[in-house]
Amino acid sequence: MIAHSAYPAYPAAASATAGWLGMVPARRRRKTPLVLVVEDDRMIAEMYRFQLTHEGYEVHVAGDGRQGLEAIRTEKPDLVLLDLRMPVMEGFEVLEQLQSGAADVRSIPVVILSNYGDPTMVKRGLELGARDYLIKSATDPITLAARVKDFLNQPPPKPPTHL
Amino acid sequence: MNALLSVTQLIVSLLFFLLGIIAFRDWLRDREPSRGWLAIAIGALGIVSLAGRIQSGGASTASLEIVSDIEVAIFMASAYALLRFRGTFIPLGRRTHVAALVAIIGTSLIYVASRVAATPLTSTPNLLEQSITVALVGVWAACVMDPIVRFLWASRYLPAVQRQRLRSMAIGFGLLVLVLLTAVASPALGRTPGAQLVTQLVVLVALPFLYASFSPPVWLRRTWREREEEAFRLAVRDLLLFSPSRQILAERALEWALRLVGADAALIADSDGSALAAHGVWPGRVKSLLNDIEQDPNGRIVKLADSEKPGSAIILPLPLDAGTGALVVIGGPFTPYFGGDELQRLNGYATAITAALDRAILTERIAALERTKTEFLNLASHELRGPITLIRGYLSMLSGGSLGPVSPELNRVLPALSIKANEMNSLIEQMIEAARLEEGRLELHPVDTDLRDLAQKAVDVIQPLADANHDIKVETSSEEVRATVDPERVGTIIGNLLSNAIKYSPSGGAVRCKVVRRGEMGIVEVTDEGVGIAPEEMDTLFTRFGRITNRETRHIGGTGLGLYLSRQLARMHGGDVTVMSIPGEGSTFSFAVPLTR
Repeated sequence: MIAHSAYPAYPAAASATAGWLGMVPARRRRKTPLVLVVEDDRMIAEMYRFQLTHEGYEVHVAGDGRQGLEAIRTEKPDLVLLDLRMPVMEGFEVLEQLQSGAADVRSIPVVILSNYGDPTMVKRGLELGARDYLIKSATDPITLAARVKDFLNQPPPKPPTHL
Repeated sequence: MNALLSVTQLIVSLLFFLLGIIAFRDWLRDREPSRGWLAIAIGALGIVSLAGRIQSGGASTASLEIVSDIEVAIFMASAYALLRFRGTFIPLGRRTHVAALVAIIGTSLIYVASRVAATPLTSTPNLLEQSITVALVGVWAACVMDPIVRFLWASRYLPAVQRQRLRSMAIGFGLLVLVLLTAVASPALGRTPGAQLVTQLVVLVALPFLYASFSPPVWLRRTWREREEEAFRLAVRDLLLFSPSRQILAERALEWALRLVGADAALIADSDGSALAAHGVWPGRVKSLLNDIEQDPNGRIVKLADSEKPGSAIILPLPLDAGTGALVVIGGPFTPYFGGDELQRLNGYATAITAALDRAILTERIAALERTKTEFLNLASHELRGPITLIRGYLSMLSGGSLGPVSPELNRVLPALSIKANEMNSLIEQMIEAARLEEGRLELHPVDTDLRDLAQKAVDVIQPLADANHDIKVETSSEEVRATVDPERVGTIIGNLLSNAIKYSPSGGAVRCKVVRRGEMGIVEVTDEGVGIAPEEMDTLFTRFGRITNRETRHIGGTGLGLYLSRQLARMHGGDVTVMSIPGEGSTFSFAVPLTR
């Protein structure tokens, strides 16, 4: 099964070079990359946590948007998997808050993982800085783990230049 | 010449007198003050005119003077009566009323006094006498001109019949004023027979106008009304058919209610007492007006107590399904007082408004139902995505070994679980696509693709679902079949056709998937050897939730969305999905899409 992506993904990094990881200072201290799953459905979060841990990642779970935002700020994860429809704070607000945050927080890649795939929502998510927009029901944990690996090996997008 | 003049004069006088009698008869039939005043105004003129004939017929000098004095009184009375007639339509201010009365009585008395004082021997009137006559006619003309101007002014906002009646009256009296003023302005001219004949002819022209003003025949009324009635009929039809909401309907209905009776302000109240639409009524007044509404099925005319200016209003109940609402129209300073005619016209209109308002509720409900259906489809499908995520997720982890070694027994059932979970997932995806399609939220992401690759991928996905007795063959043309399409959506279309081919050939057989170029189109054809489709079932095939259930296909499950979606998606690409089938032998579904140029 091919991972469903609602939007053409960034070209996968040709090779996984450890040097790229070194570019983000917060990641240097960790042996295993930290993935933060922001998801209010505990069972689904647990499923992703299980598979990602199985593949060697450290996984933290936040149950709503506010907890997720706090975790991003304090733990500085290497990748965030963000649900959209959540209690307390929705995913979009988390993205907005991150955009107005400090540079080291802004550079953390966020991938939206939602069961809502409306074109308008996809557009908004990507405009708010998400690296990709995945549909949960079309992304089984094994596929997700493969995507996570791709994202972690991907160089951070270059800042826009005006040449 | 003189004989002709005499005959004309006599005819005019008789006709005038007749007009007065008709007006009087009208009043006797319906004793409304307005008719009474009009009868006096016209009747008085008729008497004066006839008395003039008797006078010229040669009476004694003494009686002539008495007749002349009475004549003057009657003549002036006609002006007063016309003013009062105007007062029954357009409120007559007290000051105007008193001033007019004083002027009329004053000039009449002075005139009579001057005649008594003057020596009857002088054949030519002196300057004083002449100026008194001018004053007398001037007062008369002023009293008549006021209604003429006011009627012309007010008629602009009135319904066709009233407008024309008031205009006729203005023209009729206008001509009379013209004749009299000309006669007074140049007495010498008045004495030549030619001029007198012209005068009589002008009066003769004025007569039909006056007649039409108070007693227009049916054919005339119909002609006047025709254009307005036509516009009104169209407006009412539009009201009934094309009003998107009750609010808009009420606002439109109000415009016509105002025009129908020439009112200044109006309001439509809902069954709960709130104002659905209001025009020219300030919010504070709405409440007090609605307090006045009583349960009178035919409506009623009320004098407004809270209004500073005198005026009347018509209050009509609207017997809506949810309770009684109301239509209120309020007259302004230039609107005639409302009468039975207005009440009757509005009554018929109120029935139409009531029906339209109730119908609008129905239309709104149907639209809401349709929306709810799509919303439900949307919501349900998204709610279903959650559980299926978990089920398919763990199934893939079981198959992939993440959850540890799997027993051989479990390994045997895993494919079946996966297949069914995937089937469920595609049904959910279909529902989501259908909801998106209906809400117009479906966006294509076209890329230039080879249809042969898409067909092969679809076959690869479907292959595991087919059992042993289905033989899926892919036949592709050797050349590229490139089309600019949304690969995911076209994958869905081909997948749908393939899964249908398998589903509807329960006893197995070959399923052929052919990809070819045909003219400007790329074609993906899926042929099965299944149950086929009867001609009478073709119509329901591509409709939403349209499933063919007969004895052979009853056991075959599905949402009835697959072909509907496939065709809609194909059409969004500028193509189509069509079918050819022989019952009992099989079907061929063709998906056609324009090739990339």
